[in-house]
Amino acid sequence: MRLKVVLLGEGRVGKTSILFRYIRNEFQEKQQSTLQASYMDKKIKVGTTTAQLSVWDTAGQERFHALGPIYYRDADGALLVYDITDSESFTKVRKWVKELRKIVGGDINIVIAGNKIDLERNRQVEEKEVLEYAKSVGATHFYTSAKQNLGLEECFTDLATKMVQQNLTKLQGLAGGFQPKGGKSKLVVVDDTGEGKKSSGGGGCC
Amino acid sequence: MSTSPTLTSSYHSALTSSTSQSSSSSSPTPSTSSSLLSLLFSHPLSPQISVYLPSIAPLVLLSTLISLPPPISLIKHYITTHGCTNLPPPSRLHYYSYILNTRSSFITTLSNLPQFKDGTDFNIDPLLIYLQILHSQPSGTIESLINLPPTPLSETGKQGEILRDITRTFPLTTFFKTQSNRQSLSNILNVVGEIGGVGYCQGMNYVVAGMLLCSHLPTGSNEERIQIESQITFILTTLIQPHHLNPSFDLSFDQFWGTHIPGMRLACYQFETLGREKDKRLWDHVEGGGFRLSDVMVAKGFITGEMYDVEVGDCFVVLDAVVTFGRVGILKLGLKRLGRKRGEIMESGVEEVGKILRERGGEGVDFVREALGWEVGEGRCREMERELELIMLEEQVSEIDTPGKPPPQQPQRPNFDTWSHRYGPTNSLIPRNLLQSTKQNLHNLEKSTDHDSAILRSKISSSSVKISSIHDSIITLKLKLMHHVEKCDSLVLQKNTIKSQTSHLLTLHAPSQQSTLPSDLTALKKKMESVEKTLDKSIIDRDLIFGEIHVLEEEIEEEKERKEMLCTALEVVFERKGEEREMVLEKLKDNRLEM
Repeated sequence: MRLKVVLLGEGRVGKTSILFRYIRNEFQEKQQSTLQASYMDKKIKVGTTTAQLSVWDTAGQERFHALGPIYYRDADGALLVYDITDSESFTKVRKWVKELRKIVGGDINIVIAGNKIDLERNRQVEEKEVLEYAKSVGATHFYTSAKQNLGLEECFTDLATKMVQQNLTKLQGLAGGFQPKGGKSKLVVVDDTGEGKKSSGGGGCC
Repeated sequence: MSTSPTLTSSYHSALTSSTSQSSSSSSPTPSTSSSLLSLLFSHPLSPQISVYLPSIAPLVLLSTLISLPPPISLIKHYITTHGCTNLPPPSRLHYYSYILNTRSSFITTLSNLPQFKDGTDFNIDPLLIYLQILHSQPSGTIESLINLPPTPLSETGKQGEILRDITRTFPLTTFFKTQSNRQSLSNILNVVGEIGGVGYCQGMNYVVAGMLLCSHLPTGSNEERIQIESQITFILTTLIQPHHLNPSFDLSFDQFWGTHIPGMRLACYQFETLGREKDKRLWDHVEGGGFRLSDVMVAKGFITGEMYDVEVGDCFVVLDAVVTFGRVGILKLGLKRLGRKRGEIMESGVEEVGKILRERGGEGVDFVREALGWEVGEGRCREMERELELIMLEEQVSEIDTPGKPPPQQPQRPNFDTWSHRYGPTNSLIPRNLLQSTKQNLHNLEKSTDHDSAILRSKISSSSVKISSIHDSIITLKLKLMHHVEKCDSLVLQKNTIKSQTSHLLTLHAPSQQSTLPSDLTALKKKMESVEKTLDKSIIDRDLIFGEIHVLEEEIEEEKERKEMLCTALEVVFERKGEEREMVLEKLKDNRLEM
């Protein structure tokens, strides 16, 4: 199963660092600003299902938003990244959620990542606000640090689980009630309409 | 405003020399050639004359001395042959100013600044303007501003965006680990963000960095450093200027650094079309796996002027090609880069392509020479611009609801596979009723074409049937002919046998011994007569069949000609349909509402 994940978020929140840390377990203190959207692949096991994640990295600057649909239009999931030390970057997350819901609809699974948790002392984004917001839009929230490799496995596993579940449900629908083997017991069923869904805020490190 | 001649002379000469580009065709001033001389040979940073000889410098100089406009085609030929201009570092920036006609852009930039709105003497020193904007002091003088430390950038808004990118531009190169070089990058981006017309866009940082990397910034002199900064600033504003204001450069970066990146669509279309023409198998291989090559390659190539993952030492080579060749240059470099990775890509699955395309480096003179050697010209690029325009008009027409039917209650989600939606909204709208009437017109055209083509197709088909039936008859006749030929041959053989038997008998029976022929000879004679009779008949039959075949062959040729004419007529019907379709769509263009 091949699944496409797109990393979205304001410039310098750490999208590329998250990608490199998660896929290659590498971290560069001085990362070049991203312009060439590109992807890296990683195999991930969810239950008994093995999925091939294609993680797409994008440019963060506001004016590149117009190009967003190229990358997220056929994505199964989006990881919206903000920097906990930059409140403006969280405002951008709200913008992305609105845009994704408007253009792609409820089909896309969303996970929000508060990156740079290693800089907790400089935090500018209120935890309560973030968790409430994530809950209201039916997204899961994780704290991450690409630098210290915190929360990334959990974050991607959660997203992959949602995407695999969604795909299996679709397949089930196509097969007319066929029960696919495995990948079920550990899965969290996501209600994409947003209301009344359990938002974790946890799983990772918060 | 006072200016310092010692500080500004060389830069002044660089900019004034550019005026020759627009005016030299009629009457270049004597100062033009001398300023160019100063540009090429007397720059304080320039090495010895010998360094310029194996470069484009003599070409530029000669054309200026004999009062000709810049020999652009010769310069392009030189770069295609040598891979770069071969100019030494300090003169490269002067060359970019010269070839881009930066002086004219400087005047336009100036006239857009609030303090010059009411008209001014445009002979003002660019260095002064640069310093005034850098320090936000519109009335400062060069002397008062030149050694003033720049105000640190704000952490929010446009300056915040610049600030965030300063440490993220070629972060691993030694050059940008130096604070003064970072400061130069920051200064230029800040001023370009103010006066360039598009604010600050990520991507500019790479182009500016590339120019700084190939300008050999002095370590000691602040004055020279500021001069280089201001020179790069005005080269950048020229690159951003809309194409119609600077026709000498066919690529305007406002298309890639402006809101919504409006140029992405056309560049992707051109890249994809040329890419497929060049190597269809590669594209099918990658895009079959759901990876759209043009999106990635164009974002990198056009938004960063091919500077994104170039090796530091190759910056100047790539910049020479980008600045001189503009759009077609970037397209060729991108396609060459892709071609170089072809083997690796073809051998890997699509999951590896992202990684392969990330690998950087290797853009030396040979690379550029080979890239530019591919014969695709600016004409083809313009042709593709028109093609895309028609495709998008057609898409808009096909998306509109059919006239007479009620429009859908809920707005449909845009189809991101279409060129009209893939790269954000288009900047033009066509009134709904016009789209609907066009749709009707196209529908009518389709119907009438269908009618004409159906008649022609049916004629072609009956002609084919006729040809095939004649062909069958010919085959049957040919078989018959073969049979008759064989029969004739066998009769001739029989005749020869009888003849030899007769002569043999005649030798046995001595002549004149008997008055009558022996019975066996008589029998042979009779047999001979019968064989000859049959042979004659067979020959007549054979010739008749041969004649029949000839007639049928003429008939089939005629029918084939008729069929060919019908096919041509069918082609004409479709060609005419294509032309009329284009005309109908072209009419829409005049009714677009620009947003």
